[in-house]
Amino acid sequence: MKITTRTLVIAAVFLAITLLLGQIPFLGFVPMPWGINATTLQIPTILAGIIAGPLGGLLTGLGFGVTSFIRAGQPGGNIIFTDPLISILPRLFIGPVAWAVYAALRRRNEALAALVGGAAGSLTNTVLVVGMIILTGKLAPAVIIPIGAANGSGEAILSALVTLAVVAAWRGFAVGRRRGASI
Amino acid sequence: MLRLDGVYHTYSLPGGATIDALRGISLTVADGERVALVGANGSGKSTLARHLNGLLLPTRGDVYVNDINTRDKAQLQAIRQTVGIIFQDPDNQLVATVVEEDVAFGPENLGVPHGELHDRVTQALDAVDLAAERKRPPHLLSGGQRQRVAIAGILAMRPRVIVLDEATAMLDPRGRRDVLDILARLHDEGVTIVQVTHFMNEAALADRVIILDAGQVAVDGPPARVFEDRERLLALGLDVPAPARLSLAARRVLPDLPIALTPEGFATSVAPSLTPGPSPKMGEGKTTEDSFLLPLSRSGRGGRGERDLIEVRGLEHVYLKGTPLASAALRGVDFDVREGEILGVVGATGSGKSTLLQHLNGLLRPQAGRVRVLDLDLGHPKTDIRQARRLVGLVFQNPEDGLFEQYVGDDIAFGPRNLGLDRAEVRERVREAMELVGLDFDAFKDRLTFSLSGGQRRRVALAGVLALKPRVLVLDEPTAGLDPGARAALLKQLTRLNRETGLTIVIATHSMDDLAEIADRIAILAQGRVVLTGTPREVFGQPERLAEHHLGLPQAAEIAAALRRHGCAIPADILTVDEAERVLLPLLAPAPTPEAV
Amino acid sequence: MSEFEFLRNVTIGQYLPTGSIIHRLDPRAKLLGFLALLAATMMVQGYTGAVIVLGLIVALTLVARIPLRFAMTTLRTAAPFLLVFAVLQLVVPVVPQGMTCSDVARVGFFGVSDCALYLVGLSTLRFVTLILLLGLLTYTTAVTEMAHGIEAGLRPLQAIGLPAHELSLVATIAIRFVPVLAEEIERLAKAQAARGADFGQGAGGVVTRVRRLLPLMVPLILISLRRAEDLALAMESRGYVGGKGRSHFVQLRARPADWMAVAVALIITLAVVRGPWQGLDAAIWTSIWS
Ligand SMILES: Nc1ncnc2c1ncn2[C@@H]1O[C@H](COP(=O)(O)OP(=O)(O)OP(=O)(O)O)[C@@H](O)[C@H]1O
Ligand SMILES: Nc1ncnc2c1ncn2[C@@H]1O[C@H](COP(=O)(O)OP(=O)(O)OP(=O)(O)O)[C@@H](O)[C@H]1O
Ligand SMILES: [Mg+2]
Ligand SMILES: [Mg+2]
Repeated sequence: MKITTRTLVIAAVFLAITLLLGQIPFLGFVPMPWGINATTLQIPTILAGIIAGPLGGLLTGLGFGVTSFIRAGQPGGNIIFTDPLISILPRLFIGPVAWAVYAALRRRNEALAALVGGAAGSLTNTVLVVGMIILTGKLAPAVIIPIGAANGSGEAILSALVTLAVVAAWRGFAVGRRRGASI
Repeated sequence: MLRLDGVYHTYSLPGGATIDALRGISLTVADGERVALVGANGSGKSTLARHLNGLLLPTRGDVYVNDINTRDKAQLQAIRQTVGIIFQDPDNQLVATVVEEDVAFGPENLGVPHGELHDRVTQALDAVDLAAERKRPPHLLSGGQRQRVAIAGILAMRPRVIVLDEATAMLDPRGRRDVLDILARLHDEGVTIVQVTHFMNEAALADRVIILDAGQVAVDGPPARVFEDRERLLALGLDVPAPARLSLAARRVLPDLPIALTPEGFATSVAPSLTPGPSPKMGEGKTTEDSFLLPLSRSGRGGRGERDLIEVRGLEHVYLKGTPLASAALRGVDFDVREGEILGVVGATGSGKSTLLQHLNGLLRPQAGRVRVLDLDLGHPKTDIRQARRLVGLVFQNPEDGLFEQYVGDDIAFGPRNLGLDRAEVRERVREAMELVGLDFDAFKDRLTFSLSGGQRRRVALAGVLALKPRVLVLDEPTAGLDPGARAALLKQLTRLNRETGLTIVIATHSMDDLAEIADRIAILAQGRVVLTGTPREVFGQPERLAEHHLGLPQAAEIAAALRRHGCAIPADILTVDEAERVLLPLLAPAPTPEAV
Repeated sequence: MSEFEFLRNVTIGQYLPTGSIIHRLDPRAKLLGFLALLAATMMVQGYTGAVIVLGLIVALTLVARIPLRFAMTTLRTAAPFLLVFAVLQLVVPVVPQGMTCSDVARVGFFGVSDCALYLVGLSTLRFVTLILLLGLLTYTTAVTEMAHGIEAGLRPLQAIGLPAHELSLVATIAIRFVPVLAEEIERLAKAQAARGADFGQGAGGVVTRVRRLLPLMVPLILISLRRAEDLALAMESRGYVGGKGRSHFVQLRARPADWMAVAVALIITLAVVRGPWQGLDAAIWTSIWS
């Protein structure tokens, strides 16, 4: 498949955003009321998929994976991601899944498509990461599934809402039943 | 070299609507010509520029580069090699993380063999005087240097034509002068140049000026002829450069005067007709005391603002302090803002303007020295910083980039809501702020933010800060990137705000003309220190001091300086073209005819 | 208030130029060697093999003249993680089929089996090795060097459709744009703070927390998109039509030392993975526990 210049550049710039989010606490992590920090790092990959297509999402996801792999070995890194099967492989599917869901639903309702696409991309990440942790025998399902569920739900909600806001601004459509400012 | 044959270009928008950006453009550009392409916002300049190397293809009609039709896909690389384009923002053109690798990007695409690549890169970097920076990452260079890297990247492809789409718009005066010097040199070497610009004094440097209006060629001719018809240009949303404007005015006395394109040209052309001034002797006019000048609208306001609203003493700031990357931005700044004034802050790039402004509302806390806003001491750890942010509203450069809400009203309400005001009060604040920037509350509050034009978006962003009801409004380069019409409108708005509501305003800018028009006082920053403060007249009356700090003069002052070099006893501290006109015309007399001598 | 200041100083790894022999290797050799050692770490069975790999990587770290305290810092910050992991694995072990276990200790419901102990030690050892290995890569290889290495190294595979050039270009452009976007975020964050925004982590429901994120996220992504579109245009204007037919300004030349390094790494990997270590290991293990 031919990668267009635009796809390539969008993937690259969104990867740059991913790199930055990981370093900025108030952007990279949102504390959830149920006591965990949901990350936003998957969001640029989701958006790369929706905006630049599955290949764009794949490229950003690969970059996201490689950085989380490398950063796992840095001071303060999360050691579970030192296994590339956990840090890289799952990320490859985020963008394509988000794109597929968005593309399938957008004719019906674009806002809904963005919302569900965002959530789907994020859940892909969570499910595959948890799955790989179990498959590689790192942690028992009984341990990792509850953790994954707590993180994954927060991240899915976060991703869905941010994706919606960005896609609405990018495509120029209005969200919500209310038309106009609430003042 | 370039030939356009009845070129139309139509963009289609997502909703099915279309925009006819070009509507039947036919023109040729000869080998070695230097052409300026001007026109109001949206007139189609960028669209035209992108047709010149096949980035866009005409909807109807044809474009030929060296007789090759740009539709010819097989020749695409040849076309791109022949015609190179430089865009506005250098950051959006550089690909690589090392200067030399970026310059090599174009020739690499052409498949230039490895041995030759090095020569090309070296030559191109020499041509833009960046040989010393070749191993550095672009983000550590200044904006002007980065734009020169972008030019080198095009030069390394050995193009015959260089197109610049507002390539100087984001640069400071020095960076702009460097780029213009390079262009002049390339032109001398025979390279064809097409320069899109909003600066009329840059257009005056071309051999030929083409004015676009709504996708059509409205005027096409040599600058001296194009700038003869000021009415026409004003109607097209443009203006003539200051020397041409004065030439036109002087024609009332000297009907045969040619249209001057540069300050020096103007001085040369009127020098023979200058009558020796009545009082000050030629060439001896001492600057300031000859301000027999017109009681200026502004001059009476010096007494205003007795009270200091903001007081800065010995302020120092080091970025990334304590790391190997530490860089000192402020090294002991003493600076006051008086109530009710418009204070201009100027200085070369990197002199610390933005850093200083960010101290005024506590975004940055003093590392050493003192910042006092009314009676708040911002250095004191117990001071409530939110209060300072409320008193001093800060508008960053390109503030419209920061809009994020769907609806205009909500975006402006962001600040008041953060203050915890109730609904009715928020609404009232938003209404007032919108009226202050000239946006109708009912018509605009429910508009989708992202559907507005650039100028409207900037006003929304300004309203977002005014809604905090600050005592001081601080703006960082508020006119950057605006076209002449929008710039004039914004300056007028700011002056009105100041006059009508007594709002104190601090503006950092690279535009001396802006300051000549609206500032009560000017502070000059160099290498992290305030080196000069005074009224515009005092400051611009010292061109040597300004030159020392790589700063220029307002256009009118440049002309005055040129006239003085020619022995005219005109005061040096002339600020605006209107002033120059009033002072100069009485001094002009028709040149004595040879018989009369 | 320097809460916005670190932004321009974003790193992915931390390159530490000591000029050692490892630093001077061809980046392709470094990457290949890294992959070989990575495979060895992940595939090795049993303690003896794992200790050999760990020893090897420590040795390489010394050869690269990376001060050991650098490596220790990383391990120290990783220690709490390692501990939590160890506890979880002890209490709820993932025991491969065919392993017979017996309790070593039991407190009521929670028991610790000998299998669990065996596995926890092995897994900890592997984590430590991986952390040191990743450190070795980033300390000795600058990011641009990696990008060049990827492109040149994968170029032979381009024939079978692997987008080597594209991958390296994406990496390069991303790194190029990190400081540009960092500056944008700094400007956006400061502008919102000037309007009273609070980036602290205060309370609120999920929606409130997301709303606090949007003022930065939405403009950031829109700005990035605009920049991306502009850059794509500028690249095409500079004759970019994809990786085909491009020449290369940076040319990597592998010297004998590079080939040797790769060969050694591969041999070690094979030796570690295929070697008789497991039998040895089992013998030691049984001798300890019986
Ligand atoms: N990609 C695009 N899609 C749709 N419309 C566009 C596009 N680019 C430009 N236009 C429209 O085409 C017209 C001409 O735009 P163009 O950018 O060529 O003007 P310009 O003279 O360069 O203006 P400026 O001085 O603002 O740069 C404008 O009405 C603009 O809104
Ligand atoms: N966030 C930052 N991190 C590190 N260095 C910085 C940062 N911001 C500014 N600097 C450095 O501090 C110095 C002063 O910068 P500042 O932005 O205040 O200058 P300025 O006068 O506003 O320049 P310009 O006209 O280009 O806007 C420069 O050398 C700049 O590189
Ligand atoms: Mg334009
Ligand atoms: Mg600045």
